[in-house]
Parts: sequence; structure tokens; C-alpha cells
Amino acid sequence: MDYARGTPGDALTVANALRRPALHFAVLGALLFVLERRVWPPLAPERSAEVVIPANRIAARAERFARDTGRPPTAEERVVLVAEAVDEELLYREALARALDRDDRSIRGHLAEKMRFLEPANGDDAPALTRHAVTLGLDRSDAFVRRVLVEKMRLLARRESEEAEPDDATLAAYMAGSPERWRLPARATVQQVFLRDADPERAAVLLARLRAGGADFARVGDAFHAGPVVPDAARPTLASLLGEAIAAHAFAAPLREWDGPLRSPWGMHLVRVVSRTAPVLPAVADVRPALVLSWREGRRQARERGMLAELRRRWRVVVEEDRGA
Amino acid sequence: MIRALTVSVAFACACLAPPAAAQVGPWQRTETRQSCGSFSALRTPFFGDLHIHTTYSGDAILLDTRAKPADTYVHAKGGPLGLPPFDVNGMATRTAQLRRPLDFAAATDHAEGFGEVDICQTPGLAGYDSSECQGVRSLKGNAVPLFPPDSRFLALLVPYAISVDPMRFSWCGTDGVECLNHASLVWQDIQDAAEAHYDRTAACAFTTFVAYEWSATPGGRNLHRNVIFRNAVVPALPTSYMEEHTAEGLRAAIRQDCIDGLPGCDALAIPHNPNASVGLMFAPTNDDGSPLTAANARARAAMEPLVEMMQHKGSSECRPGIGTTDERCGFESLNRLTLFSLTDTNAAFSPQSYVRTGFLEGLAQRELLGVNPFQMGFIGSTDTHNGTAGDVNEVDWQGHLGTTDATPPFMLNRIPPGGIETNPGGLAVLWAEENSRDALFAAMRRREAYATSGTRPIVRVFAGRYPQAMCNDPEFVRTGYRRGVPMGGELGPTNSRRSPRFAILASSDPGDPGVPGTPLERVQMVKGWIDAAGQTHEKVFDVAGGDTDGAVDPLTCARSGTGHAQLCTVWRDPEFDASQRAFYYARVLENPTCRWSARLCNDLGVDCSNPGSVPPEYVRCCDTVYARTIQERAWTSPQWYEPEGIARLSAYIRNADDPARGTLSLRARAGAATPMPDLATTDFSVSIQDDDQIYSAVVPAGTLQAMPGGGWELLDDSGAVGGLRRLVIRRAGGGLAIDLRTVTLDLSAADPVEHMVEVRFAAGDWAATHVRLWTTRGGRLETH
Repeated sequence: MDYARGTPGDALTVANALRRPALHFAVLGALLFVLERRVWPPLAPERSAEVVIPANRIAARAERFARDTGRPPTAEERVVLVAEAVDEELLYREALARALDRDDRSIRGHLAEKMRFLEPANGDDAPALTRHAVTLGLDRSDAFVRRVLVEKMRLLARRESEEAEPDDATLAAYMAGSPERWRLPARATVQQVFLRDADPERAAVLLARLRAGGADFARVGDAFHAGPVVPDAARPTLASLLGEAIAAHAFAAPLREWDGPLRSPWGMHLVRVVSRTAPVLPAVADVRPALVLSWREGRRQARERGMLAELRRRWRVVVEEDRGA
Repeated sequence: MIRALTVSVAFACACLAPPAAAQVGPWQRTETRQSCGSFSALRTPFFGDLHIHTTYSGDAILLDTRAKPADTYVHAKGGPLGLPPFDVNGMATRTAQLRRPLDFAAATDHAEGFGEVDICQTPGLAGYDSSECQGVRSLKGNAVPLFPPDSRFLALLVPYAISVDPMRFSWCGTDGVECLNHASLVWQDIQDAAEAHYDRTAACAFTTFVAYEWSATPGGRNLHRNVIFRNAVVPALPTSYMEEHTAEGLRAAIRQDCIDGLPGCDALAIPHNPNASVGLMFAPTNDDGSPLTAANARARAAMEPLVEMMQHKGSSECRPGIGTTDERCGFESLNRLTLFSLTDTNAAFSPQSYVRTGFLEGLAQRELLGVNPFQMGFIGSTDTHNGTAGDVNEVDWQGHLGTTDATPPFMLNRIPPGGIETNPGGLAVLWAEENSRDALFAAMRRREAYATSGTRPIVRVFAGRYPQAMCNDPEFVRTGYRRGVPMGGELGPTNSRRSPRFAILASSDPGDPGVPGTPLERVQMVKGWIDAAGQTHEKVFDVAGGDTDGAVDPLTCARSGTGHAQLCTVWRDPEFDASQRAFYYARVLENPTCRWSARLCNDLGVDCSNPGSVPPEYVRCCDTVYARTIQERAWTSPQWYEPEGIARLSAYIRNADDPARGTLSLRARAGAATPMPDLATTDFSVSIQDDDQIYSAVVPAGTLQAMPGGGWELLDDSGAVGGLRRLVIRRAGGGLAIDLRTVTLDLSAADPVEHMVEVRFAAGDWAATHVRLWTTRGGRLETH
């Protein structure tokens, strides 16, 4: 084919245009652009990114399960094994995406060790060994590296909740969310007189005297393991010191009246309930350290769950059939 | 320190005033928390467990225990706890729950392997893939017999506990730095869990302690101690067997890293299982074999006020035939020399493996060294490796060793350290003013404690100058503290040459809704003493109750007959000799009940009358070596009679008009055996304290004038020396008499309420203390 030699200033004919190298480049560029979009998918992971769990990985988990328990997993248990494998893969991929391997001392040390085995001559230059290992892609298929990254990702998920100290309002709301865990029990202060024998006349006479204010309750009755007053006691304490019946009485009887005789495992008692405190949530200030610890732990667990849920949304997970099952 | 002058309901008229606002115990408050509304100067019994293992203990890996300290505390307070084996979802297949909550608990994991245990269970960490970690993990949940110990378990046990030269795994790094880094994370979680579950509100419902176990088992011989910290101020890392190979080294490290070296820190160490120490625990030597010196003895007594003498792996009270003919010593005996030995009832058991004979050795050491290294009180605990604090019930016990005793055949057949020979363990009971760390720790220090074999009888023992009719005294407890000492206390010749009176009041366990308590059968007093020739002796006296018709049918476990709901007596030692140092402790026995193994075998339907029908895995059910019935019991901390102790002390502090201008007047008599100190060459010191110091004086050597005819005196109206107007020390009435009066001084630290006050004297080698409940009358705080 003969190409007519074009000179600047020639008439802008189609033929002339088709001969210009700039146009050739533009066309070629457009062609490449079209080809790239259609034929080769984008290299960066986007919404349609996929995570594949190979069959042999599930099989390995099933084998470990069998070794630990002495039998193969049931179908239900397999579902859980698969879910664990998926969680682990997602965490691993996220760790890579965040480049958590880049400055990790354990990983670098481990990779250097691997290379040392292959390149004994370079045995002392750890950074060079590590670089070379990475160049060869030794980190990508390494189980140790994988485990370290998964663990780091978990820790990161939990640590991300290491926020500033929660304020009183936050803690009060948290406490109100599970009041049975934090509520202070009802308590009662009880005065008592112990009568070893079950003589109803003696009890009646003493009761009358106490009601009339004619006796010092601390100085009458028989020897007993508890003193004359049991102050500010919750029900279990009253039950252990004075028995179930008096413990129940302490939270039901009218206040400031001598009553009885009431039975205990050891004899009879005349009892006066001096005061009672209703169950109440403590002030945040009184349980702050315990509240903060509990709140932080709750946040950590929620964060870890949230991270895994987010990863499942972002990645498409494909689990290979375990054909050997 | 001036407290509001309030009227305590305990001793006033029938007033309706609220409980005393003054809460003065004879101990310092070292932490910030709300005051306990339940404070009671006459003290209340608190039940707890001070020996619990969680997932942080090395042996938990092979037992597959996953409970963390936080889970243990939830269980102690009455919540459920999951037990192994766990299914694939990580759900427990068994649950444990107490019928009655505990008042206090401490997780005590083996400190040696904190970091290693964490690493062995965390994939990705260097060491996870080590042969040692793989080996131990492969034992998890498998029916591997514990004897002879599997080599994979030995690979952990030997370097970390049994070797006399313990060493960490190589992958722990130089100086163990990798493992110690992880250890600090575990130690932090232990502290966090203790804080999260310690009730600092006025309800004072539950107390935790930060604690750990020092697991020295050189050559298989048990020297373990549980280290209990008083409050939240603790060293950065616990001192384990790795760091200190001897108990004296441990005590020195605690002193350096905590008591002396860390402001606000205080700790004590509680040894356990002397019965597995092959005579080492109460040997009169240091762990390195050197003979005990007075300084060693003093250090040991100061830091080890208690011994855990009842727990999962047997009672360490005594052994029939080893220094005693007391048949009741055969209760829950460990018939092996060490925890990992085979059972052999004919092995060479040592008297220094049991507390009764060990304490007799202590009396002998007192004669030699001037200090008793083994002056200790008693507690029980469980030593559960399930994290199940306080799980002591014989009725539905599920074992203490994770998967290795998770089934009836395992519980019956697993040989050391589990099996039919072991038991659910016991409880620690502390008499304290309130359920807070300072109050409970102080009770441990002064030994006002008792051990139970798992039930909850309530026992009071007082020794002192009491009327014979004290059991008719409605103020029994108050009188007890006013005129003598409680369990654990030190006692002088309060009744001159005649025996002190021991006032004992024991109440049966009230039981709980599901399981009624068992009536009491009897109370005994056990006496140990040393004579002038240096020979030690022991004797058991029946002091209250006796044979009852209480019985239990071992085939149905049905109880029958009667017993005592309460036993009270005032006892005098019929063989008392005022010149002989002695200890006394009470042993309270319940009527018989079924042992856990008999219950289990009955529930399984094992019929021993038809041997052919018994499945092989239940053959031990029919072995007559193992008791089918037991008598649960309590052992109170001994009271220590000292011939040169304080026989009488009468004193008052008058400061009502103006606390800054008070006077102290004191008259004391120490026993006849007390030597007259040479105050020309020795100082004389006296101090009086409650929760803080009320008065203290040191009279330097040479200040007192020698009196003609013996004795010393100081007469000085200016009170230049310690505010003393008059101090006279002389022989009188067969003993040493001290007469003291001050000028007007600031004695405002003497709180004007009825409370416990301690007086202490020291002169050269002689020291004596006197602790009583002082009362108030007419503007004076006083004792007689």
C-alpha cells in the first residue's frame, strides 16, 4: 500500500486525517480502553469481590474435630466448622487489605527463618531475607502468617472499642439495661433474743416485757452464735445466721415491733425488725470500676461481632464442595 | 481520730437508734470503698473458698476448663457455670450451681505458666506450634490416664513444678520475656475480674481477692502456697516457682515486691496439702535444707498465719498411727505419699505432713529458737480445677478435674490426683466485722478462722477467764471477747495456775431449701503440749455431746435418729500445767451422712450384695477400703497458751472531756515464767492500737532505775519519756507485774465506742500481746 506523504497545511481530507499518527494512537487507545473494561476485570477488589474457601480447608477442620472428640462432625457441626472457616478467611483478607503484615515482628522473623533455610549464605541479614521471602511470595501461602494476621484482626476489632472513659450517663444507661446484675439486695436490721428451749410461757413473758420496754434485749435470753443485733443484712445472710423463717419475717413483718416466738434451726427467737432498705440500683460512682470493666467487655464483643457481619456484607463467600466428604 | 459519739444498739437500752456509725476494727482501712452497713464489732462468720483454678492454670488445658476468674466469681455468688466437655459450638454439656452463695472467693491459678498457657491456646503466637504446646493440647478432653503421667503432661509438669531447677520452655525467649509479656496480660485480667466482682457498695455482699498459686513441687513433694493480696495494690507480676525455688525465697520476694517495696501493698501466703509434702511442710528446716533460725521462724510465722488443711485432696489434720491413736484422724485421708504416687496405705507417712504433729514440732522449735514457725490457723477450701468456687456438696458433686472426672466411672476410677479417694473439699470460715477486704484479711492475719469439711456449722470458741455458767449468758459472744481471746488467739495464764476456761458454742448447719443441715454429734478439744523434758504430747477430749443415735443407711442415704442443734460448754483442761506451752483446737463432728461416692454408687444402682452384677467400671463402689459414710466436721484455729503471756490486764483511757488531754492507766500481770528483763541493757516498749495507734512508748535501755529487791521504775511528773508519769515493773503474785500511768496526753485516737483494742509489750526477747473488747463507761474506755 502506498501512503501519500502528507505535509502540514495539506487539505483536511479524511484520507489525510487517517494518515496522522496521532489519530492512530487515539484509536489504538480507545480500542485498548474498550478491551480492558470488557475482557479483563478490574484488579482492585470492589463490591463483587469474592472469597473462596477451598474444600481441603473444611476437610482439615473436620479432621481436627475428629481427633479432638473421637468422632466425625455431624451435619449440624459441619455448618459451624464452615462458618468458622469463613470468619477466619474474612479476617485474614481484611488484615491483608489493611497491610497488617507489613511491620509485624513475628511475621518478619518467621519469614527470615524460612529464607535462611533456602539461603544459608545470607544467614545474618534478616531484613534482606525477609524482603526476598516477600518477593518470592512465601508469605502468601504460609499458615503461620495467616494465623498471626487472623489473630491481629480479632484483637484490632476488639481494641477499636478502646474509647475514652464512658461518662456517667452512659454507665447509668448500661446499668439500667441489666438491673438484676447490679441491683443491691434488700436488707434488714434485726434485733433478736434467743431461747434455747421451746417453753411457750417463758417466751410469752419475755415478749410482754420487751413490748413494754421493761427489758434490755441484749441482756436476756440464752447464749447464741450471733449477737443481739444483725445489722443491714441481706436475706441469705439472715438465713445463714437466723434461719429461713426469720429471714422471711424480716422482709415481711411490720417495723419496730417485737414479735415471736419464731423458729430457727436452733430454737426460738423473739425478733424485732428495726429497719429495711428496699432493693435499689447503686449510684454509678459506687460501682464505677466494675461498671467500666463490664461495659468495655460488652463493647469489645459487640465490635468483634459487628466486624464479622460487615465483612460478610462486603465480600462474596464461596465455599467449595467437599467432594471427599 | 475523733469519731461521732453514737450509741451502739448492742449495749444500750432498748433504743431504736440506727446501728453505730463508728466502725472501728483493730485493723487499718487500706482501700477506698463505701462503709458496710452490716459492720458488727461482735463479728459474723463469712464462708468462702481461697483455692480455685480457672482456665489460666496450666493443668486446665488438659482438663479443658474454660472458666475464667470472672466466671468463677459469678458462680461463687450463686450463678451457673458451664463445665466440660464442651460441644463444637463451645457450649458446656454440664452446669454447676451453688445452692448457697459464698461470701468471698479468690481465684488462685498457677503463676508459673500464666504466659505459656495463654500462648499454647492462641494460634499464631510463637510457641503455639511447639511440640510442648501441641502435646498438651492433644491431651485435651481425651481419656488419657493421669497415672503413670503421660509424657506430654510431664513435658509441662516437670520443668514447671517438679524439677528442683525449674526452667521455662525455650520458645519463651531470653529470660522468658515472651512468656512474661503474656503473663502480664493474664495477671491483668485476674485483677480486672477481682475488681469487677468485688462489692464496694454499702451492701458488702461479696469480696474477691487478687491471688495466685506458687506451685513448688520439688521431686513431687508438695510445698504449694496460695498468695493472697490484701487489696488491689499488687506487683506487676506474681513471684512463681520459676523466680523463687524455695518458700523462704518466696516470702522474701513478697516482702520486697509488696509489703516493703510497694506502698499500700500487703499479702500473706497459705500453704496447702501438707499431707502430700512427704514431711517437708513442717520440717524444722528451710527448703534449701539449712536448719531454721529464729529469723526464719519469725518470717514464716509473720507471712503464713493459716494452713489449708482440708480440701479436695484430703484432710491434713492427722493420720492414725502417725504420732496418734485418734481413730477420727482417718477422715478423708490421702493414702499416697505425693499427689502423683500410687495409693499405698503402708507407705512411710511422716508426722511432719500433718498439722497436729507439725504443730507439735512447732512447739519444740519454740523452745529451741524462741519463736514458733508453725503458729497457724486452719482453713478449708476446694482446689477445684473447674472454676467452681465453693462446690463442696456431697449430694451432687460433679468432680473438680474437668474432663478427667466428668463421668461417674472417671470420678471413681481416675487414679492420682483424682479418684474415689478424693472429696469435694472444704470451706474457709472467717470471723470478721464486715465482708470487706481489710476486715477479712485482718481475720486471716489474726487466725480467727476455722475450716469445715464442706458443711456450714457455726462455731465460736473463746479461751480466757469465764464463769462456768457462761452458756447461760445471753451476752456469750460479748463476754467472750471481753474476757478472753477467740479462736486463733494467744493466751496467757488468765486463771493463774489453773486451766483457762474454754467456752465453746457450736450450732449445726442450718442447711438450705434443698438439703437440710445435719445435727451435731459432739465437740472435742484437741490439746498439744510440750513438757519440761522437751517431749511433745497430744490428747483428744470429748467436751460436749457424745454418742447419739444419729445414723445413716449407706444403701439409701436416709438419715435417722437425733443429734444436737446446738452444743455449748465451758471446759477446763483437767491436765493443765501452767508451765507447759500448749495449743488447743476444737473439732466439731456432725452425725453421719453418706459420702459422695456412696451417693453416686447408689444413684447408679450398684448392688454390692450381688458382686456378679456390678459393672467393672463401678467395682470400687464395693471396695471396703473406702468409707461409705462420713462425719462432716469443723476444726477451729488453735488457741496458743503461753506461760509468759499476759495473765491479767486492767486499763482505762479517760479522754471524754477533752480527747487531746487524756490519761492512760494500766496494770498488767504476765505469767510466772516471764523472765525479769534487764532494762539496763534492753529497751522496754508498750503500744496500744485499734485501727490506728492510740499510744506508744519506747523506754530506752538504762532509763529505768533498778529498784532494791528487784524490778525497775520510772517516776517522772513531766512525762518526758513517752508521756510516762509512772512505770513500775516488778515481781508480784508469782508473775511479772507492770504498772503504768501517763501524764495528760493526746489520746484522741482512742475511739469512745466499744471495740477491740490490742496492747503489746516487748522487752528484749520477751513480747506479749493482749487483745480484748474494751467497753465504755462514764467517759472511760476500759478493760479488766
